[in-house]
Amino acid sequence: MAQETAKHNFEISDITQKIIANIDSGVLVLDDELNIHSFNKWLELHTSLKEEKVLNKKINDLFNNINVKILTRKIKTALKIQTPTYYTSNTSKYLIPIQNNQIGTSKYSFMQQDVSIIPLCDVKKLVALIITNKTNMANTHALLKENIVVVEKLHNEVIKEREIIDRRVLLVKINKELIITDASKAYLKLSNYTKDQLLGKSFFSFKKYNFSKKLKEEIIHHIKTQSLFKFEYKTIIKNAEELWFKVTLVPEYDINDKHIGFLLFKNNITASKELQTHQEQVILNSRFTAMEEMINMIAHQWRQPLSQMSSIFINIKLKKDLGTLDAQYLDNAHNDIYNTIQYLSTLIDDFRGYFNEDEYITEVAFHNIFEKSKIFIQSNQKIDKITYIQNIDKDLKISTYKNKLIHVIVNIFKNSIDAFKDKKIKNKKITINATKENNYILIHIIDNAGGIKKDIIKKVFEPYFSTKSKNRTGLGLYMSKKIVQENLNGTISVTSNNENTDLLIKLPLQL
Amino acid sequence: MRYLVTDDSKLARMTLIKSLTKFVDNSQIMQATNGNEAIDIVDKYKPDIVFLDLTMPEMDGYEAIPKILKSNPKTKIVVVSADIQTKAKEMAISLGAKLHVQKPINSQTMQEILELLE
Amino acid sequence: MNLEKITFNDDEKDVLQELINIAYGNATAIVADILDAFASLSVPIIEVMTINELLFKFNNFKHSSYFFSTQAFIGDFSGECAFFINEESANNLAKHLDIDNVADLDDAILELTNILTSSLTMRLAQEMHTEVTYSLPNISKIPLSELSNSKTLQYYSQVIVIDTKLNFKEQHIDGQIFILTKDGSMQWLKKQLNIILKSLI
Repeated sequence: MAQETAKHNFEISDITQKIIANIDSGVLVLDDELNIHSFNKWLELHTSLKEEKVLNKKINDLFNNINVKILTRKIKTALKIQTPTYYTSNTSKYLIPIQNNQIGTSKYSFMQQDVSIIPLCDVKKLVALIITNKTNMANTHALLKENIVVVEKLHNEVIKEREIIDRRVLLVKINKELIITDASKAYLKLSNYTKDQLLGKSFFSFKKYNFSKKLKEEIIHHIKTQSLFKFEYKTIIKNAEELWFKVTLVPEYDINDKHIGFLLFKNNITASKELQTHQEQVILNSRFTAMEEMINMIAHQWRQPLSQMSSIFINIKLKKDLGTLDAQYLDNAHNDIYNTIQYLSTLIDDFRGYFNEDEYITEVAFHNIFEKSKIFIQSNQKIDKITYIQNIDKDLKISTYKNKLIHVIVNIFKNSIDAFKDKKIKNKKITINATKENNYILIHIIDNAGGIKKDIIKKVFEPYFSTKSKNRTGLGLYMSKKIVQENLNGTISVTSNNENTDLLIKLPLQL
Repeated sequence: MRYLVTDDSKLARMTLIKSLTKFVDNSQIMQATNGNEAIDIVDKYKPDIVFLDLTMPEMDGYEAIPKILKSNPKTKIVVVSADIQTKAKEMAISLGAKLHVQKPINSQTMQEILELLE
Repeated sequence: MNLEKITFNDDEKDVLQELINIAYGNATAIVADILDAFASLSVPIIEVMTINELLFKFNNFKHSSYFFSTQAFIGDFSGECAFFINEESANNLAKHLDIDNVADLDDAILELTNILTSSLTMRLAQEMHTEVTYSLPNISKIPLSELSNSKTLQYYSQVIVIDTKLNFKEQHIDGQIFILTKDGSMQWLKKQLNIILKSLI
């Protein structure tokens, strides 16, 4: 019986030993002073050390990477609490250095290990260390971690971007049923609505939008065709403030390209709308002023021919009363009156042309433009005693908006005339030089009215800038610059010394 | 002889009383659930032996030991605690407790305690 | 999954509290011995709560930087122990153990968790006349931000949360331990607590 038990015990320990030898884990027995008492085949194979060579040697002498203090603490703890203690690969990496021989991409040159320290014998202070290979796991873990870092970075960027959009971009989202599903913080702030007040509401039923019937139809058309659409509309926000929005309607798709609704990017254009309105007003005002001046000029221009005609009529009456009226006289009188009427008619045409908006590009001789421009300032010419000098080639022609160019030159002339008014200058002169340079015409208009001071020369093209008398609008040069740049596709600049001011207009020969 | 069992846990008191009644009569045993109550009972009834837990609400064992002894210097205090840290034992003894015993107490331990205190 | 909420009456709570107290006293003594320090013991707080309530409680830890480690225990009484230790305490622990690198500190925290968990639950099991074992891979350091995604937490519908403080005043090391048990274990626990109660009457 005793023999049988002994045999049974032997078999068990034999089995256990076989298992320990062949198990795919490192198994070794240590005492609390780190002496090796057992070293299994797995360890032999992985470390190329034979058990008989390592028995009774200190493990830290064989592997000097081992932190003695920590290992001792773990062994003592395991013995004390009579439950296992551990090393885990995700914090400790490995206990026994085993080079990775596996072909393939590994992040680790050494095998990553989990180690359980199991209390065996409290008296002999023995523990078993079971070492398992966790390299694959650690690899996966490291790869995952790297990817998480990348994903997190991207995620944070997206979040940041979204926050910026939310804070800066006026955005309203609607679904296919045209129900408002989201609105950016920026939009809520501007419109003074809370999310609750907007979300779930139908885009069109939201009456504050105030779309015209035509606009509404257009929007619906683009929503139906899922096409991009830009429009402007005026709305009244919560505190009765009026706002102008420029809206871009963009169809929105999910990641599977399924149409899910629309994004409405809004642009608050209230300020530019106000500016536009203001500018329109400014231009209108300047046109009124100009018109007033024109009427004065027409009156002036008409006075002489009218009195001429009047005297002809008086003479006819006189001759009839005296009985001296003959056919010859009548014929002459008729011719005179006819010519005068023709002159008056041309004058009217010229003035009307000055205001004609729907002008065509025409080819004209530039000296003609100069002559026409002079008509508009004739009244001043005589009073102010200004000499006009022109150096213009008779053959120099330009294709442009004739009346607009006249308008510009008249404005510049007037500006010079005004400059003369404030100063006592003998031999007042306005010189106009026009030359051809490549495909451009360079027009210099030079006056000797004493120049413009350096500190204000930059401002002469600004609206309402005037160094002159208070009743002038100060818009002449501003309007001129606007016309030259926007309509005539040219440039205008000014240079000055303390005698002369030289305005240079550069225009394309062919507009 | 009078005995006082002080513990905030009913289970702890019941466990202790169960082993104590093997040796003394139930009528000799009083109960308190914290240090304050224990001092009141010591003031009134001057028990000979006080079993005292350390971790209790309102007034813990460390605070109660000198107060109990001040009220009745003859009282023998037995600390019965889950706190078996060496320093906890030393503190209890230095404050004046006769013994420090680990919870829970079975009859055998109780017998040893009573013999030691005789 | 048993969706009926298990509750503990005062007596049951008292028994559990006292058993935890004993087990915790044991665990603390071991840790104190290893750290060569003295811990002040506090009364454990026992609550039954839903996972959402628990996550809300854990959420409080997010305000400062915390290490969070867990270890599972298996047996009649099975569940998970969670240990929280804030960065300051962890650094003090490192100082106390002469640790000067992060990996070793992580290792020390996991070791502390292991000691606390195993000695606490082993003694608790012992008091309830059963046994528990521990499995190695369940000890890990989880970032708090990923806590609500934790698969293990989703195994629970309701948990008994036993909240105890580890407090080494002199070393300024304090932590918080939560023993979380699964639904089936709660039934078993309730039964076991009543057996203990009956044996005393």
